[in-house]
Amino acid sequence: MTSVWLATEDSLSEAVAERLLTEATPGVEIALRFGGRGCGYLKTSLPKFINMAHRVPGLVLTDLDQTDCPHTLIAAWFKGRPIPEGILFRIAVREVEAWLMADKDGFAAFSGIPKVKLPQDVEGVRDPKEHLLGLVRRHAPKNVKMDLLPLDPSQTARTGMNYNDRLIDFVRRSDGWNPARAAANADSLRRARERLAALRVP
Amino acid sequence: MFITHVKVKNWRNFRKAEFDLTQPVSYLIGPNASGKSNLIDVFRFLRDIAKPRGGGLQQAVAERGGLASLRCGYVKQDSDVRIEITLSDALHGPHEIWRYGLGFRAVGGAAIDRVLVTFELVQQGDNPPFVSRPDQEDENDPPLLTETHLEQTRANAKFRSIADTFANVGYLHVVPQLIKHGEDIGGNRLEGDPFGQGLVDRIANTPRERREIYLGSISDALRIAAPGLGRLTFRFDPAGRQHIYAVGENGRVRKTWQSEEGFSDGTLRLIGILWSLLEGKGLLLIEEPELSLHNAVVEQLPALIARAQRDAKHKRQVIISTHSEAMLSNPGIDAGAVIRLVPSKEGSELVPPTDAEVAALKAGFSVAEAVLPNTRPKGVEQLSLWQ
Repeated sequence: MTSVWLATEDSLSEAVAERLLTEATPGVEIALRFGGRGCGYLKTSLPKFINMAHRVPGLVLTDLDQTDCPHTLIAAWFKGRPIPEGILFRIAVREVEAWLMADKDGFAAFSGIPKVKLPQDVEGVRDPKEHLLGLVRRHAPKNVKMDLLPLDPSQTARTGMNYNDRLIDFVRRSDGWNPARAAANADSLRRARERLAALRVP
Repeated sequence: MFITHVKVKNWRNFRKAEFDLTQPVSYLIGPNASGKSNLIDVFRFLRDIAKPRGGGLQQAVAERGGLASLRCGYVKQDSDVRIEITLSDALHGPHEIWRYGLGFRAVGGAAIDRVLVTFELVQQGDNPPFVSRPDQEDENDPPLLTETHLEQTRANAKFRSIADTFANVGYLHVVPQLIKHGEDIGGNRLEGDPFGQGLVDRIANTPRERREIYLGSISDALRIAAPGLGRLTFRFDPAGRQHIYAVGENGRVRKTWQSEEGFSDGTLRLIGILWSLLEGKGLLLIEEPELSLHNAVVEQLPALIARAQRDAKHKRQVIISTHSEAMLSNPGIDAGAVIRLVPSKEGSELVPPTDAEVAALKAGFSVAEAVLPNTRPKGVEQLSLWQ
């Protein structure tokens, strides 16, 4: 059985990476999971990931966030050097939340937000997380609001206490998030899936 | 002596388990209810057999609720409980090896709380064993099998150092509230004082000169962990009771005196741990030392323990059970220092670091980054979605 490692920004991205990986390469074993500490950790640990990739291959998934384009981010992280063979480096434009909303049918069913209200061009949304929260605030039923929105919006917390686990549940359910459907609306996801499929082990 | 290898069979929630202890400090990790305390109990059990006062096999088994609660529920047949320990006089370099093995089972079914030794072995290197039971004497006088040689001063003369090593095992799970309010509660003190209730008494009973040296070392550590606390000293209060005091300068010339009742939980826990490292000898088992300590202090615990081991008169071997990412983030912790428990349907198992984890450690990741995430319970996010 082939072993790979995953490095992601947070538990939601980890769930997304895991779903993509296990769908593309059934039977692959995820031996290690790094991250959960934001993109700063991924960036500073990059030399260790490169070192690690000589022995065990891995997938790094990070958000583009406010960087203007993926090439700029890769150039900044790898300092102009090529990405080593053992690392599959994928960037969600601009956040994994965009990939979730890209599956309009699935996301509408999960969140109760009318399908027509979901963004047409998810990758064009400047701040997908904020956009998602705004849609929940305006259109979602009460129980979804209670999980995803902060208790007191005037305070500092941006999301509700159950934001991550509610979305992770959506990502993991076979009747929840549909990556193939989502890929049709999110080019960065389509390319990530293609690269993962090419990894297919015999 | 150091305990370097452990093998158990049919012990609590382990069908069998085997692990090496190759480092001065070992870290026991695993999810809740994976059996960390049960594994640690192997050493406490041997201590309870070997301790000079009130020890013995029957008592040690009875204290644990009889053999029925001691043996592994996953083992269907009524088989022996077995413990095999390898000891050594050094962790590295040339050393002499000793082996101690013990097996026992219930007499006439587990319902009767009396056990018989089915196997006992004491061996030095490859020499013929000092003890290999049952022997001729046991056959002539079967009731002898109700006792081990470990608990008999006369019988263990040739391997006293093994009996002493077991008898010196210390267990620490400091409960600060018991130190502060022990007298008010008037609670019983367990053998070996695992919860630290008797910390103040133990400090009182230490010869003055040594006590001051130890309190000085601990004060140095606390200066960073609990700044502003001041220097520790030991005095009688006006009512004639003894206390640990922290003497601080409050900015003016006047000194402030604060007794242990005013210390924070974290401070007391640190004092308890450091004192035990400095004072005692033999294997020290510490359960979750990270409790009530700031993460930044927890990060420094491995370094603090290493330093205390160096300062101590007798360097204690230490086993720590922990859930703490901060503690395991110290890059000085080797893969060989980690004992990982993984629960399964058939009892818990010990899982050594995988190839991928070793690769990650070699690439520069810490145990916290490479090994600890794999002890996360599966689907733990679901916990908050419970209905």
